[in-house]
Amino acid sequence: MTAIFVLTARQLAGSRRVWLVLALVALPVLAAVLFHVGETTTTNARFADNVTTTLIASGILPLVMLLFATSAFGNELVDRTLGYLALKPLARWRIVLPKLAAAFFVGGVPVAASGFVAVALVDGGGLRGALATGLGLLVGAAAYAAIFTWAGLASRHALLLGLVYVFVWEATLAAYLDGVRFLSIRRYTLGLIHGLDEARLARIDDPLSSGAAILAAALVVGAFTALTVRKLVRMDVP
Amino acid sequence: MNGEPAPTIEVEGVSKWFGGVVAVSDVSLVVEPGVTALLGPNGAGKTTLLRTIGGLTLPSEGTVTVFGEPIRRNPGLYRRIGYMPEHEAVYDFLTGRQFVELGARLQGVDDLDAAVGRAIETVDLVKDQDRRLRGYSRGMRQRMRLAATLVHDPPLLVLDEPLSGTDPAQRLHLRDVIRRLAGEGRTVLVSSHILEEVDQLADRIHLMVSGKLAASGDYRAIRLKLNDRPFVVRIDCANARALAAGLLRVDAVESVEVADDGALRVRSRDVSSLQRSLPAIARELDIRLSRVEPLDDSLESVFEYLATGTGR
Repeated sequence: MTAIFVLTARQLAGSRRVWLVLALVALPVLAAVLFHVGETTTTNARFADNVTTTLIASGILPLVMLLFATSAFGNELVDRTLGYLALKPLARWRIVLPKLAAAFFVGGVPVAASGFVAVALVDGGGLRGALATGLGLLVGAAAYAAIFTWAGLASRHALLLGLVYVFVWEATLAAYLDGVRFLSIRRYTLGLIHGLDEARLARIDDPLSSGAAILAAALVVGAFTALTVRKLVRMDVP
Repeated sequence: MNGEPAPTIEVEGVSKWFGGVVAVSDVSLVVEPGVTALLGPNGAGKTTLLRTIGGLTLPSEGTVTVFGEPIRRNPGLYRRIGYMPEHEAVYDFLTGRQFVELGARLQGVDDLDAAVGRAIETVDLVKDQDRRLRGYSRGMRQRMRLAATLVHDPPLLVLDEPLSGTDPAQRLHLRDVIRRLAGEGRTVLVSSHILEEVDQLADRIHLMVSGKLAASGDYRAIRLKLNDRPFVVRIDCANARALAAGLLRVDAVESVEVADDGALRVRSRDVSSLQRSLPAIARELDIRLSRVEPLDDSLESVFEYLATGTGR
């Protein structure tokens, strides 16, 4: 599985979109630096919360994971190289798991690191809030990776579907409709950050407990990984 | 039980359609050790059939077994199969050697370095193995893909258009490699759309046209069928009517037409007889020939004749 992980990580990290992603990942850190050097009436905690909710959890994290995870299989479907993996004596889950891990590693880890550094800078070196942010973002990244990796294999319009999920479902429907608000990875991410450090994100409405957030994210990862394996078993490989 | 070994590949009543388009229609064949060629024009269904044999595509109807086992949902079988797809896409950010190594690792090859070195040596690309694939010519890429296909030393090789994109020297070399691999007891199934390409290469040919199996046999049998078909030749000359009268005396000539542009269209069933008679008649009548061109010698026409008994 290491060979497929390394192959996929090189594919993803070598694409042109990595420059866009690096720019996105640098934004929270840049915002934190500007907050320190500039003069503002906003408190440190409030600024850190705004960066986490508005900039990272609602925009950068889902966008970065969308770009990388949909490409984990999507690139190979487009250039027809998936056969080089599918024609090997490997159970399909042994192809899916390393690809999922590569998307998580290449996309999720830099975003989580960016969130950690930004919050640490804003908090003046305090580590608890920064660690909570980093861990929450890592869990969110894993869930996004599972959904978008499946979408990249299942649909030619995965990017569009992903954008609809992030900006229509999560940003509007799940944010305002009580009945579906638990079907939002953004809420799992923010709920976990708050659960790990109650001083963070105190203003969000009815946050999930950290246990519920981890359980929900784990269910999403498990379900969508299973769907991806099932799809790869049944599909015609181009 | 008659004691004969089971064929390496058994295709039984396989059809494959995509929406309303039938790509393969009720094909049954067996493939045994040695080199077998799947021949046919572009769009005949060769690649779809090979993809079905390789388990990449699920047949709409029929069954495929390889070494007596179903190929779909049976990844363990790929240890015994080397499959080279038709399209030339590769992970072009890898070097040639890394690409072959990847195949070897995923196949779980024990002595990786030795196996990779041997495979690259077989396709004669040792000097270029550390260059990135994106800098390779089409032929070099094709040969490195072959190296990755045979790195785990499989008893069955399925090669979709393996000679495509290679120059004449590489073509001869690859042909020798394929013959040698088959000579060591392997089963090699290759596809091609060029009849002459499979001469000297394949022990047995399955001819596909419009998704159907049109003929099977060795190269000689297929060639004889081709020579037996009627064909049309266009002849441009100074005195078309006199030459037409002369040609009609030749038994092999079925009809001669003088077209509006003054050219002759000669229909015959015996290529070699017409080839011998035409210069003799032209000399006898003192007619200068400016152009002699077969009109329907395209592969599609040849294959259509073999499939349906009527040329275009």
